[in-house]
Amino acid sequence: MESCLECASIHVESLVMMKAVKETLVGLLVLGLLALVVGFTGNGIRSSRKRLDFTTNHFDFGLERGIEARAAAAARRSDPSPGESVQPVESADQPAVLTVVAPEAHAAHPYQSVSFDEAVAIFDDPNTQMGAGLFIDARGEEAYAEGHIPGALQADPYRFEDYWDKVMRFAEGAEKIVVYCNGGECEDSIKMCTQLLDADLNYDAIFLFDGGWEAWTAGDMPVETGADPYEDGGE
Amino acid sequence: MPQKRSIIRRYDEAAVPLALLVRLFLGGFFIYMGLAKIDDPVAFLKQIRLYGLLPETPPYFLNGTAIVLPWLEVLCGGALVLGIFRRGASAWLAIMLCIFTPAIFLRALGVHQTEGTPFFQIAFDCGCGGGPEIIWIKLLKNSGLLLIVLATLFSRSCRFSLVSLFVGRPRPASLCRQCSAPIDEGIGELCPTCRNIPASGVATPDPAA
Repeated sequence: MESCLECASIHVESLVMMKAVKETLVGLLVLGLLALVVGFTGNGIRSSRKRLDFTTNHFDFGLERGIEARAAAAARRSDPSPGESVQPVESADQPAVLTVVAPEAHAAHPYQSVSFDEAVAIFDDPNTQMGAGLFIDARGEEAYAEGHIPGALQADPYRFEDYWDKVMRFAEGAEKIVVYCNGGECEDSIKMCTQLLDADLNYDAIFLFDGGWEAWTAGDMPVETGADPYEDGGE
Repeated sequence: MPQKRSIIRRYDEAAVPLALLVRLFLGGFFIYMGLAKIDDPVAFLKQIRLYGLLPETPPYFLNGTAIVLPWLEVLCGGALVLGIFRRGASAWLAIMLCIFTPAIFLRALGVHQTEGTPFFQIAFDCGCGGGPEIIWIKLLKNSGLLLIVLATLFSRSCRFSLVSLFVGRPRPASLCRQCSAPIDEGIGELCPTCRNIPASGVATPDPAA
């Protein structure tokens, strides 16, 4: 049986396509599996500062703990008698309400907010220089090195255990701890506030600067650059 | 009978080694972008969360993507540079571009609708590894990247595969000049079928088959 050139070409073309599809599928499978193996192995052997914990919900900001702490603080303020047990004003039956500071400016959170003016006032307060006040930069190391509020500590809320020693060294004696991140949609400062609360720091001492770095630089405030001088036990 | 050369065939058989240069560029580009994401997995995790493509609970989807995707980019980039698993690597990169480019567009649209910022002024860090960028330019770049990734995917050329320099003898032009079928032996430039077609234009079985 004779076959024409066109039929032969079509047949060869379909063989070529099938070979290409098979080659593509094999490549997809091999590279996908290799990426899985290399990705998890590489993540497992990295230093703790770069490793990403696979099982942790890194976006659990613990807002319910912040709400409870706020309620307890409110109850203490309304009934300052020492030695008496205090019941939280908010009960399980009442809906928990987050402080909506400026919904278009920052995500809602249950912590005490400071405005730009209040943050500047804390910054300028001589007591802050003596250790009664503390600024914590909740952004990453690179952003911190590019510019931060002078005297602020750098601490990553997603790896707080690596920064716990440094933060507690300065935070335990501070009356006002002002946490900031970029501002706007950034929620890292909220997570940091919860980390501080979980480290048994006083709710009343924790403040969140909602405007963050964007507001600080927009206000032409002084900035400092470079790595955290308090890193690795520095003075 | 002269055959009309398709775009892909012209791309493969260009005098300048276009397919090689494009492959090397793509490979290097995605290796660089993947390494930038590997360097800061938490930042990448935060970015992919903002797209809302994956659920936050259970955390395995987001965390798994943040761990594996950058390495997939690096491996695909490396595969393109070496010329191995070329189609698979191109397919993965095309899939990623087809998912993230519309996601970037939708996120920018969301910013435009909620904040009222003119679309062509919107800029943010899309998590691609290049830092904050003006989004409409980013979308154009991604579209261009997708085109050349698809060209690499559909290319039939096995020429200038670097790994072939170290594995076996260098392969000559491996496509039949007549029908573009892959040829192994490199005898002349015609595949066995086309070599056996007489002047009448009717093919006869290859006596060697």
